[in-house]
Amino acid sequence: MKYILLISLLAYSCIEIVNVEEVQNISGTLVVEGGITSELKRHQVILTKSHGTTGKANPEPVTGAQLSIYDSRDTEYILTEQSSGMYFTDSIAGEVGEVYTLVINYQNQRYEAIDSMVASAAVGPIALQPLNVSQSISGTQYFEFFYRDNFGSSQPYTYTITSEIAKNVKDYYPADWQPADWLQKRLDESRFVTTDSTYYLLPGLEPPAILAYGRTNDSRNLYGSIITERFYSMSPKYYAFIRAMLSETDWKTLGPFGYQSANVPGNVSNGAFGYFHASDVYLVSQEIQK
Amino acid sequence: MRWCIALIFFAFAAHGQQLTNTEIAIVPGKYDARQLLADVASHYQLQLSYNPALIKNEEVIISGDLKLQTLITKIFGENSRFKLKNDRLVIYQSTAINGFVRDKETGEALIGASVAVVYDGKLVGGVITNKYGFYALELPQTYTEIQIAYMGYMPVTYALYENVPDIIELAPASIKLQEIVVTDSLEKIALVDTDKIGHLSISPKVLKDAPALFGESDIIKMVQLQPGVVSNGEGSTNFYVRGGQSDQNLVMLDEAPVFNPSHLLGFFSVFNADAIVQTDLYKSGIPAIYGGRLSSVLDVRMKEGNNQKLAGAGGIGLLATRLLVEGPLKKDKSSFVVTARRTYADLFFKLSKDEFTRKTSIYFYDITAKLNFKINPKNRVYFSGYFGRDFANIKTLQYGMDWGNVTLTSRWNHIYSDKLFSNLTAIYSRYDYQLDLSGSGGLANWRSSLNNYGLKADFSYYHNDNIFVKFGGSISYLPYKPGFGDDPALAVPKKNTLESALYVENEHQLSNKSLLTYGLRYSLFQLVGPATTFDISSNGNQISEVKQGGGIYTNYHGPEPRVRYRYKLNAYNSVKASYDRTRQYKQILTNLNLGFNVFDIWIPSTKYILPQVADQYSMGFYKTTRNQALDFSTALYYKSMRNQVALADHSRLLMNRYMETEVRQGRGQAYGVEVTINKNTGKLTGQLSYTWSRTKIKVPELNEGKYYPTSFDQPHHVALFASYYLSKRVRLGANFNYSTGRPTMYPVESFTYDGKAVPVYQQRNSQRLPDYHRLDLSVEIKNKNFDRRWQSSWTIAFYNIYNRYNASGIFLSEELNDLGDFSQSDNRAYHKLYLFGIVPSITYNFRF
Repeated sequence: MKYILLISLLAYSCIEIVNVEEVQNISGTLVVEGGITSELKRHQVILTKSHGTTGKANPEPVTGAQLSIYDSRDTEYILTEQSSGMYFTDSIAGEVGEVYTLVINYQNQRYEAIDSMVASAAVGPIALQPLNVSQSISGTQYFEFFYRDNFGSSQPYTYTITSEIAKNVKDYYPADWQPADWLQKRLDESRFVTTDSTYYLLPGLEPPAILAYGRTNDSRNLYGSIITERFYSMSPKYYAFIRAMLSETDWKTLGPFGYQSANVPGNVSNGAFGYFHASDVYLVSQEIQK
Repeated sequence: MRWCIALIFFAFAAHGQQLTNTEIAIVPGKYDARQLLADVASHYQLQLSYNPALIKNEEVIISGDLKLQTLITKIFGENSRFKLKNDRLVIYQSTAINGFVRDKETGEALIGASVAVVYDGKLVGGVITNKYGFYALELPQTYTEIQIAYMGYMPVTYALYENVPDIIELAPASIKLQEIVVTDSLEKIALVDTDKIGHLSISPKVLKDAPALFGESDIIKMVQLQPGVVSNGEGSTNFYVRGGQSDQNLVMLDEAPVFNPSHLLGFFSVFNADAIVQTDLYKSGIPAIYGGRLSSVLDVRMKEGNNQKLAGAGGIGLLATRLLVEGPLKKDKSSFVVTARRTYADLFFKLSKDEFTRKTSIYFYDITAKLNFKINPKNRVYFSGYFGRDFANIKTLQYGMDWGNVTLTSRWNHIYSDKLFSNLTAIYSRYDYQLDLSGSGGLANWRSSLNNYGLKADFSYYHNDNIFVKFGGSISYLPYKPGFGDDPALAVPKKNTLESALYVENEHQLSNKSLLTYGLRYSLFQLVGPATTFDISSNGNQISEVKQGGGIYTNYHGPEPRVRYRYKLNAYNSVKASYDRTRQYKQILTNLNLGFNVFDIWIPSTKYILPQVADQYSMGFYKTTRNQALDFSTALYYKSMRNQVALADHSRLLMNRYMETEVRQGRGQAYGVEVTINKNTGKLTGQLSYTWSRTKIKVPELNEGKYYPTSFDQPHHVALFASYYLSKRVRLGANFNYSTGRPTMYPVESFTYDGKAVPVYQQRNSQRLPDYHRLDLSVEIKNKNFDRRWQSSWTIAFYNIYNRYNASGIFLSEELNDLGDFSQSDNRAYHKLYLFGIVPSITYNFRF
């Protein structure tokens, strides 16, 4: 973010922090964040209130609301508040093609958010490259992979990738094999996950995001590691929300790559902010075989 | 001989103007000329006034109905004219004269010099010289006194028109002589005399006298001080005229359009003040010769070069050095002028201890050149050009950009006769930029360009002292490359267009008090294949590409009527009104909230971007004092604009192949009042102006379809610039500029989503930046070398003397205390960007 700002502000010699608090108009409007996916699990919706623009963002949770998700057959899935402002369903799975409506009743106000679950397309697993021996440490064969590009995807996704060292990693190597110090420490502490990233794969190029993220690689993968990718589909409206939200946050710049500022269009009625989404999940998992 | 006179007049025959156009019915036959004239005058209840010695034919044969002018020509000959004045029919002989008005020392054409016809000590007519210093006028032989005047020059009077030479030379007035000019002021064409409304001329002297940023005089900075004109503040060559976007200004250098007149990210314009001889800004009453932009015309003319002797001028400042050399190629026949500028801040950067600064390079250079050849008294050709380039490289970030303009103009002036003057012009201009992003990790570079190849033919026909017709046409071919880089998939498809126009305009002196100018411009715009275009689905979600074959695949056209009217209340007061329709077939797409405009993207009208159209109504009151020392004017205007361009919410332009689909169009309105006082003579000269104006836009898809203020809606604007001669050697200068803060959007609250603080806004442009104001002071001290070949002066200037940090923009982000601060902070804060506090400068200027 600051790198982007720097490039866009090269012409400017001076910046100072100013107080424009007089424009603040904090309404305490309800904010909805969450969704339902095709994975069988407990799905989460977070309710908070809108807050000021300056200082540390510390949104106030909304407690005591009644939440339900309905499908097109009017099947109701009730969410219960597990902790302050965090509401969960029972373990359920959504269906592709289904339309889901989140209904919130809070302080005598009714809010609704509708989204449809579009299918994720099949995607091949990420390519792995064995690192050459000179780059490997202590005789261990390592593998690297490049993160998927942010852009150029056939359809938009929220994307997660995890890489997990096999608990029995020593079984993949000769008996006299000695793990590197960092690996032994992880094994001792049972910290097997070496990669856990979430980002967006979008169809169009967004130059500020290239400046912000770029592509990178991960080289802490050994035999037996499991690399899991999840592709969460987006409805066109959800994609528009995510793109607008990013253009107002991570991609924000005043420079030539800037976006026309505007309010982020959510899908919650009655003036609430945020988005309740429905996403199909396409999962790709691979184990690094010896 | 039959002396019987039988006149049958139309029943509706009347006095005045009707008599001018009405055909008089006279029974065919042979008549005594004097008696016939007397009968005509008697019938119309007019007194007759003429010199009997001028009668060429004592008897005339009438064969049927005829106009009064025809009758008078039969009796008095070809050069006879008549006027109706206070129920008096005055018949007189006229004569036509023409020529050029030039600087006596350099041979430079004086544009806008007044050539006044004086009778009995009063101004009875006259013209001002055109862009080539040429004039032509017809005057009664009884009116013999011709007075030629131009600001800063000694006026010249010719008692007999026969003595007026082909080339009238005016000598520059020295400082001392300028006071003589005041007390001995001659009659000249004044503000109240012309029908120009919303027009401003800036002479090199006015430009040089104003305090300037870094001591570098700049014509666009001067334009930004004019009533009805607002800017982005410091660091921008953008200017907005009467509610129009910055791309609605036609900026020209020697008739070639300049698509981005900015240097150093907008701190300076491309116009080297040393090379400029005249600048005209038209805010309304835009002559029909100009077209293609909605809001204004800024017509900048380069010097022709000294055709008498080798001469030069220049300046050495803290930021830049400039040099001009001019001289005759063949004395009185041909001349040249060459100017060059370069900034050298980058050289100082290399001395920095800081690596970032040391490896940063920001500079520009430009060169202008002009040649002119007088082939013979009736033919003259000109060749002029401009080449400028800016560079900004930050090696530590592997980031760089460069941009520049090129213009080339070839002109042929031809005088066909005493009454017909022509100018044929061939034009080339180009703007391009390149963005090197090799440090970005994914993007290599991005380029954009716009070329213009044009031909123009302009004619001026001086029919008589009542009728002055201008007509002509133009055609331009413009290939647009809005954006392309290494990846062809990202390239915005190029577009080729043709823009053509025909125009005619008549300046019609209806009476001594009334001057009416009416014209029509008809413009045609065509998109020419082969090209790739887009089809957008009805729901707007799907875009498909369409390959267009050769030939024209889209065109727009329409009339652009222009009318100006002036009514003189008396010798010192007049009222004026105008109506302009203008059409525009190209626009800049930009979403920058800051002043600099390097990455402007020019894009033509397309299937989805309709031509912009504006109708402006303007009226004003103009007053000058008896000695023309003071001028006062006030103008009201209302402008209605269609198909105004705005960008969709969250749209992005750079590297967006479908950028034209981000455009939304709607209606715009602008209105305001401007008040100006000028002091033209004496030790203290200057201008004070106040403008109240509003401008807003309504686009169905944006801001809930409601009107919202444009980003340059600045209701109050006060500007003062003044120059005071303390002595022959010392001159003080001052600028003061105040304007209401520009509209902007601050987030008024936030919500958190995915751990990110998402801003919430009110309506578009519902907040404003703090008000802008600034005072600049300067002192110019001339060295004691008045009479020597080498003349020099020092200019010490203080830009923003009271060190106000005027905001260029305000943005919300994690706390950022300076540009080098990469430390992470969870605290978010508003940040004000500003360019300068006080900026002192010292410049050594010289001429030889």
